[in-house]
Amino acid sequence: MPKGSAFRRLLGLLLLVGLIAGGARAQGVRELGMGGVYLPGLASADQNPAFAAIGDPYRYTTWTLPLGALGLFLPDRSPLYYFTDPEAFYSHFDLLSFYDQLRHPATFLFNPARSPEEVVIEIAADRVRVTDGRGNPLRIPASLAAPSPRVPSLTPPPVIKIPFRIGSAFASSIGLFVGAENLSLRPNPALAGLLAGGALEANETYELTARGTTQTGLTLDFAFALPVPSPPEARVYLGARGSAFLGLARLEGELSYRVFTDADAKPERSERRSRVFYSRLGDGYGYGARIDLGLALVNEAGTFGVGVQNLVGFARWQGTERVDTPEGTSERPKTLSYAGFRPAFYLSGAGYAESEELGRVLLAADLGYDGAIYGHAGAELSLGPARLRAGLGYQNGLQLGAGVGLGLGSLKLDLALTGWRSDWDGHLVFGLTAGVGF
Amino acid sequence: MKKLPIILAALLLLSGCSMHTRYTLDLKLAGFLGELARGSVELPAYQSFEVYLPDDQDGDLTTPDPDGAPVQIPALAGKLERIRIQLRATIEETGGQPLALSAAIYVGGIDAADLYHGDGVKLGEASLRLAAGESGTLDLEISLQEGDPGYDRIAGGEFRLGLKLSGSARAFEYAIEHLELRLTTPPLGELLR
Repeated sequence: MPKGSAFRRLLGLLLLVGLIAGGARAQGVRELGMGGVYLPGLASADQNPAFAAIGDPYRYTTWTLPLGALGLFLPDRSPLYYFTDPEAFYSHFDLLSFYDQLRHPATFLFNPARSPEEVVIEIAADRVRVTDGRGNPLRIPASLAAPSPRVPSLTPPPVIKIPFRIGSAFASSIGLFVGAENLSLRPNPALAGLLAGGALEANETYELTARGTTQTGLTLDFAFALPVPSPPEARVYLGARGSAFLGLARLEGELSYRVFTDADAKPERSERRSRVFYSRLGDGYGYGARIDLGLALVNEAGTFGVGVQNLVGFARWQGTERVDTPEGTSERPKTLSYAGFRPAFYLSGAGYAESEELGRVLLAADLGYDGAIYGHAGAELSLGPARLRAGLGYQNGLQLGAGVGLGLGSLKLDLALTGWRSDWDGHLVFGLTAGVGF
Repeated sequence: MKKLPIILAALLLLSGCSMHTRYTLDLKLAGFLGELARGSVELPAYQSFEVYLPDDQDGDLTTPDPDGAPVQIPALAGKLERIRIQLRATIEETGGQPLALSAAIYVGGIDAADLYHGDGVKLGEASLRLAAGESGTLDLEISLQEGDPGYDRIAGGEFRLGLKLSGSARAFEYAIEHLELRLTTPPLGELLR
């Protein structure tokens, strides 16, 4: 590892920002109220380049307020109380609630994940079990134990993006991405069985492995979207995008801890192994490119599209790999390369339905795959100045959404109540997101 | 316990560092006793007796072995809120005479030589009466909190624990089915405060 502590601080910051930002695509309050559905339009042009040509048929813009910051006023999830009111901090602070709130900066969580009241370490002659106070084994969240591997040459969504158009059909953008992905904490089958209450086996290896990747860099996109010959009463658009990235820094780490048992099923010895790949512009480099394609169809019923990201692509990172094992430490230059056909798919559609009883209703749905399948469906009913929304989806678990939008003169106010099953303890977490527009 | 680092790391990651979480170490001791978990006592005639467990494995339970067994958990020293001990044993009268039996758990310092006569304190006791040839179950549950006799010994992290069987009998067999020592810390916030 380079001696410079500034580099280590940068990597630490990267990891922190990446953990918070994750690899998820940000959604507006309206979409959250509709179950998390992605609406066809410019906001979805990353997934389907053809949407750049259709504009924003369902345009409705409000700025999302950082309601998650309200959590900083609550002692159960704010570490700031350590400085202002230590008594409240030592009585109420819950690291898991803090982490859960941090992961949802735009949403105030009413009931974030909470650590158990009691953790019981049961040690018997033939087994070790870790349970909560009710006898349920503590489990590693599925998203950590078995995360869906993201397509390697897809960079995380940019946190900052500067678009500019070239003529009517061509568009370009420069972006900065920061993200953490493929984070996992995985026990091997032997340890998983042991933690679930199994017995220690003779001559067995129990292993816990933590992995994660965080990266930052710049993206440069060139895209076009054009009308193509269409069937009657419909317009069809074809979009394509070439996206290149220049990596500024990347950190990939894997740390494993192993315990070996002897012939009598007693722990005999343990060892720790780690492998870290790091790269930063100057001491290494990272670059890659990919091609995305999309089709969009607009007719009387609505707007529909299919997008394929990374139809073909590659990524290459040059850096240093450091391996620590009981036998010693080694450091050597290493190149990571990913190439080929590893696409991510995205289908979406939306349209207005008119009803004499209900008025105008926007119906929308999407279905995608980017290492894992996701899908959402939602509706928005317009009633005078109010919009009522509801929907549900599946993305790393079930998502529920209900929302209301109000037009008050030139002011627009949006609220969305969302719910999802906590990956940590399985309870249904509810959160409130708000947005304003003018 | 070489796997303790794994358990602790998993604990922190899984449960988080919540200030309200209590940590409990639940030691199921019966399985560690091995052959000592069961035995028989045969006396020359119907008479009173005292047997101390664990025995020193000299093959004769009636010879006194009053120093109990050492237990060392220094990591928990001074950091306990609750202590619970549970014992369940089956007793079978085999001498053709009625049996009256008491089981008492004693605790003493790590250097105690005789837990039952001055070096230790009695934590709790249960008794059982059986007719000739009968068998029965003896249950003893002890909960200790700060201020109770013996609490400080166990909360200190290093102590000796022993079981005294006493009463009147001709002969009997015993089997310790369950022996559990459950140590609970205060909430993490109080430990860190």
